[in-house]
Parts: sequence; C-alpha cells; structure tokens
Amino acid sequence: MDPLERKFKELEGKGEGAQMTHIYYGDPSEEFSLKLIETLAQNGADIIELGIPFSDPIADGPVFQAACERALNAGITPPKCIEAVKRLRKAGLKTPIIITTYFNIPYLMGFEKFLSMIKKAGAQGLLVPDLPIEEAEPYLELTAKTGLHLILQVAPTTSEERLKKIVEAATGFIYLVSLEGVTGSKLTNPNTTFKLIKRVKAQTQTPVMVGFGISKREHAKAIVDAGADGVVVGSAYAKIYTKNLQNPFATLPEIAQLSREIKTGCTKIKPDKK
Amino acid sequence: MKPVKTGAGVLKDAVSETLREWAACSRTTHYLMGSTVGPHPFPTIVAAFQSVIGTELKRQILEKEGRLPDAIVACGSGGSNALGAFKPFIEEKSVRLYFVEGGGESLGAENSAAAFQLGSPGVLHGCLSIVMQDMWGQIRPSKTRAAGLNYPGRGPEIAYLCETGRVKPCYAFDKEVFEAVRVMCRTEGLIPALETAHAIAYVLNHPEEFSPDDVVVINFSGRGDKDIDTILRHFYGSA
Repeated sequence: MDPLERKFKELEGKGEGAQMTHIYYGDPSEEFSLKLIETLAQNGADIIELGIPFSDPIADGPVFQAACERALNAGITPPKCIEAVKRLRKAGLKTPIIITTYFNIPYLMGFEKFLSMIKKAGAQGLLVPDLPIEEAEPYLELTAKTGLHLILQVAPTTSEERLKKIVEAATGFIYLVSLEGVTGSKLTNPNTTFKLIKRVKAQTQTPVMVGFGISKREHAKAIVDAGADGVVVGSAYAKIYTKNLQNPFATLPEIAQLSREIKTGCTKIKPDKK
Repeated sequence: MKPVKTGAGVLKDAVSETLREWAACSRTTHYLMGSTVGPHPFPTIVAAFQSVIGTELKRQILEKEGRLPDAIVACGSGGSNALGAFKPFIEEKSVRLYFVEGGGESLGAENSAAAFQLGSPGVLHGCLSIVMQDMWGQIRPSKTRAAGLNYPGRGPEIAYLCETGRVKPCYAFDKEVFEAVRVMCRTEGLIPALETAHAIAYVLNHPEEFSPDDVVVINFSGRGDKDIDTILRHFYGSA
C-alpha cells in the first residue's frame, strides 16, 4: 500500500473525509509556498496538491490564473517545483503529494522522464486536467509502471459511457469536479454535485474527492455528507494570501484557521449501529 | 460581449477565456471556434465550414481562366482562411500552396509570430501541434502588428500539411506588410487587412517563386477598414 492509499485507509478508520489543498508553487515566492504547504499540512490538509504553474491554465479561474502568472514572472520552472517536493520530504513532510500540471509541461520534458523525476522526489501522483480519458491510455500505463497514480477527473457533463471508462482506469482517487466551470467558481447548484457523487460512488470503491468551488466548512460538510471521501480546496486559500502579497506570511494564521475549519466539516456521518 | 482581461490580452487569451466560459454553459451553448484550433473536433468543424472559400475559388478560377491556379497564397496563424482556401486543392498536386505567417519585426523569439520558424511540437488548448514555447513548455506570447495572426500555435491540419511538404510555410515582416498595403491601395484601390497584406507581401517580395505565366490566387481574407488607424499612424505618424 502506498502513502496515498494508506492515508485514505487511515482517515476511513477515524471516520474522516480527506482535505486536499491545491496551491500553485512559487506564488509569489518559493519560500512562501514551502511555508504555506507546511502550514496547511499542520492544519488539516491530508493531501497536498502541488501545482506546477502553466502559462495558459484553461481549467483555472482568475485567482489561479493570476497565481500562475505571478509564479512564472518570479522565475518558477518545472524542475524547481519538483525540487520543492524533494525539499519538503527532506524536511520531514509525510503528507501525500499530488503534482498537478497541464499536459504540455510533462510532454515537453518527456512524460516518462517527468514521472520518474516526480517519483524520485517523493510525489504519489499526477493530475493533468487537459488530458482526457480518450488520450490517457499510454500515460496511465507509464504512470502505473512508475509506481504513481494518474488522477482522473469527472464532471457533471461526463457521459455515462465516459464515466465507466474513467472509473475503470482510476487509481488513487477520482477527482470529481463539482460544477460546470473553472476553479474558484461559486458552487451555486450543489444538488448537481450531490447527484454526481452518488452516480460515481455507485460504480466504484475508489475514493472520490470533490473540488472546484469549495471554500468553506459548510461546503465540505455537505459534500462529505453526500457520500464523498473528501474535498479539494485551492482558490479559497490563494485568495487569502493574495490580499497581502507584500507580506503573504502574515496571512498564514488566517489560512490555517480556514483549513482547520474546513477539515472539521469533513467528519463522516457514522453509520447507525444496530 | 465580454472583454478578456486575463493574460496578455491577446488572441490565445481570448481562446482560453472562451473555453473557460464554455465549460460553464456547454449544455445550452455551442462553441463556434474562430479558427482551426482547439480540441477535436473543432479544427475539423472549422476547416469544413471554411472550405467554402476553396470550393468557390475553384469554381471561379475555372470559369475565369479555364484551368486550376498554379499557386494559392494565404496568410494565417491558426490557419482557418488558409486551410479553407487550400482544402479543395490539397489533392491537386500541380497547385502550389503557400502559408504566410506573421514574421513580426524580426525572427527573434520576442518579436515574431512565425511559429513554423520558431515553434516546436506542443499542446495548447487541447491540441498537439506546432506552438511557440520556452524550454519548459510555457507558451510564448507571439508578436505581430496583425492581431489575427497572433495565435502562438498552428492548427493541427495546417501543421500536418506543412510537415508533409504539401504546404510551404512562409512569413512576411511587419515592414513588408505595410508596404504591401500601400501597393495594394495604389494599384488595385483595395485596402487589405494587415493579415491579408502578409500574403500580398510574400508574393511581392518573392518574384523568384512565381513565373509571369503563373495564375496566382491571393486569398483576400479581410478588409483593412479595421486597421486604418494603425496604417495611417504607420505612414503619417501619430498626428
């Protein structure tokens, strides 16, 4: 069992849903990102989603677009992001890490080389939002061979036929996109999300993590109550430090507070003992 | 109408923003992609629509000249007007096809939109093709005075046709393009769009490629009304 699977097992034992926190590395500086990850990991984050900034992040809303732009302007590169995983592991971080980036980044480096680098650095998986299941097969094989998870996404618009393929191929967890839109959008129609959670959970034992539009405790609670295994929170944290880019470190207590709150929303309803 | 305020505010950012918008309304709304780019099947759909240009072109040139042209020259970045003009001629091997990109100021990576000269295989907007990018795969902003040629990627079909040698990738520099506008105005009384003027400039500046007996079709893809301020500023200064 790898650290990601072990994490879900451990949380299940405690009756907890997972919180994965998504950050774009290097925004506004490497030092801050490292401190942010440490803070989140100590305050209710069970999995770290470490984003490698990309120039054209089409699945991301304005908050993360700006984050990518700032990080790239500050000189961040994919190798620096991978190096960060190594540094975090060296510093003792045990939390599972998923690398997220758009396809062109690993494609250009060479997908196999990219995988072996992130594996060696200490990551558990890779998420590529612009890699659809139709194109994923060779990359699923490579990822499995490297001993990593290729995290696949489903959305409310995913057809039954595609969902089946995704569920069959999924490892680690399934990333359920809560809404039709981009990261940081407002979750205005939670019933759509609940329906999709039920649809996916009915077909698989693989954990289901719900992301996009999750920014407070109530969201997390409703989603975990609906049967999901956890939530993904990203833009909500970036929004906090963006308010003080001169000294983002000063916002860490506020971020820690929100992360702890959201985590308390992830408590699973205990099945009735009869 | 929604102005795009993200990124560098250029064509690629408009495509990104439209894809994002469409992610939220795809159940009720069709995406009419503006060029032969983006994820499948958009390049195919757009090429099919645009091929009306080539179909009409073929009929008209046969009527007028009684034979196929020797060459067709079209400008492009994503490649829609060019591919549309070329489509019915791809199997007509006697017809030479020229695709003219925005050379910008010079072929330096910071000053140009000539992706076939400066780009390499990469994935942008859900499609693998030739894109302008840095060594890590970050998309490089392209640069040309013609906004419509300012997409840093090439449509997959036009890239394929260039790779197989069926289409010749060429470019024209901004300076040549303004000169082509002047020539076109003086000789034909037509104001071409700055995009279109790339195709004209290429023909004007490469006499060695065309013989006097050649029937050459320049795809007059757009009018210059929209560029008139830019053109006036170029020739007469800011006043």
